[in-house]
Amino acid sequence: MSAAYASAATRSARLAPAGDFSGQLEQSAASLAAVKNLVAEMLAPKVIDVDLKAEYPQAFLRALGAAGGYAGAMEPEFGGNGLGLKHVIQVMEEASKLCLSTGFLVWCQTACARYIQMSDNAALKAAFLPRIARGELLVGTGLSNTVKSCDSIEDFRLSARRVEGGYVINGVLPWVSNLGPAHYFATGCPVEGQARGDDALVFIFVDCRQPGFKLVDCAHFVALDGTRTLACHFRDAFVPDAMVLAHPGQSAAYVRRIKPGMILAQMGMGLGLIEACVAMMKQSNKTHAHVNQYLDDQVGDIEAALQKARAAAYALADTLNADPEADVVLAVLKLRLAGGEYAVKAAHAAMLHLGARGYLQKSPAQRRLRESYFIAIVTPATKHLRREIARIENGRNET
Amino acid sequence: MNTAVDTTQWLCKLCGYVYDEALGDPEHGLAPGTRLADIPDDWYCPECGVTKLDFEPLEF
Repeated sequence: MSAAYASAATRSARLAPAGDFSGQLEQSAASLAAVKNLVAEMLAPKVIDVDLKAEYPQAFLRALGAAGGYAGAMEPEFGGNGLGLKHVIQVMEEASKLCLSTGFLVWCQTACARYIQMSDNAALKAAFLPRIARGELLVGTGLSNTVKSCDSIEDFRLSARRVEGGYVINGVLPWVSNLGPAHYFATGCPVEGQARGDDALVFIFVDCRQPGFKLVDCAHFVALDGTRTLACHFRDAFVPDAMVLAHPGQSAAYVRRIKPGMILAQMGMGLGLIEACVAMMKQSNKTHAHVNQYLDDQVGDIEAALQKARAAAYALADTLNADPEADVVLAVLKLRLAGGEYAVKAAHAAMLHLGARGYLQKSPAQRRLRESYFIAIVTPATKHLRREIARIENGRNET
Repeated sequence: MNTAVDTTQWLCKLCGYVYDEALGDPEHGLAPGTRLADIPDDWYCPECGVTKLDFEPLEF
């Protein structure tokens, strides 16, 4: 990180006491300006290597932390900036405008930080959150299977056994992102001998170097392949109570706290990608508007939808910041569904606007199209969201 | 994994990868003709990383 970014981040962190609205605006603007500079300077030259060579943008992720890019996810006493979920989304947008892999990694880092922040484990917060905020520690989230199992979509792939001082974990989790030998991640699973249901789970923070745990690098994806997405093998891995985020009896309330914000924050990926597609369409229209006008999806419509979605995402972020359990679950699910659908629509429209030049291997248009499907399939995927929305709207009678 | 079934093709229940015993998996050290039952337990699906316990006979 350059001295300029460090000083901007430090200055912005000093600016606003809690509750000072104009001060927070100034603080947010300074922080996002630092993030934009960092994206242009460090991430832009790496985008094609991240996409085509599966290069993990580690240096950028660490610099982003040093510049305060993750600091919306934790409280000020643990290295946070007090700007909350909206700031998390805005930083994710800035990265996703250029590179969805990196935007997704920002989500992984901040989602995991938020899981820790929302736990009752004060010692864990103090020990890890400041290092996560600064980007010294890179972290992931292995909650896809947990969420899908809680929603009766698939079986739990991990199981826990209560032992003296902690839990012994067994099983395999596929496709957990932002991992590496010195990384950590959060996951959750049922505990043997407990009644079934959301309140019978244990949520844990896992050290990838711990005995009984192994990372397996195998999968290769058509996009987002630079995200260090690995399989996680647990064989009698002991996780001490000190690394527990929520025990059985606490887990249902914990899920209610973390889930809406975790889903909403993914909008940062969609908003950033859609904005990039709008920019490509506008650029194309400078020379080809006379023929682009015959396409179904026009830039004005997509830009209007983007602005509406952005305003809704920021408003919901502020609501969840004030009350993580606010009654906005249905609104979050519907917005997140629209985010995935509009990302695919916008990327498809950008591809058709650019034509053959968008079909080149290093063209951002074809990359954005591949990336856009990730937003529609990452947990919660389009079909998952539609099912949950139907269940809520029908009083949970849908199966 | 159901080893009693007479099959030569196995489906990863998680990601859809098919292990064809006739082809093996030379890239990961499994010669053509290697039966799934003879693969070491620490082998994992080359697409998603789960073990062979998550494979089932491929049925059409």
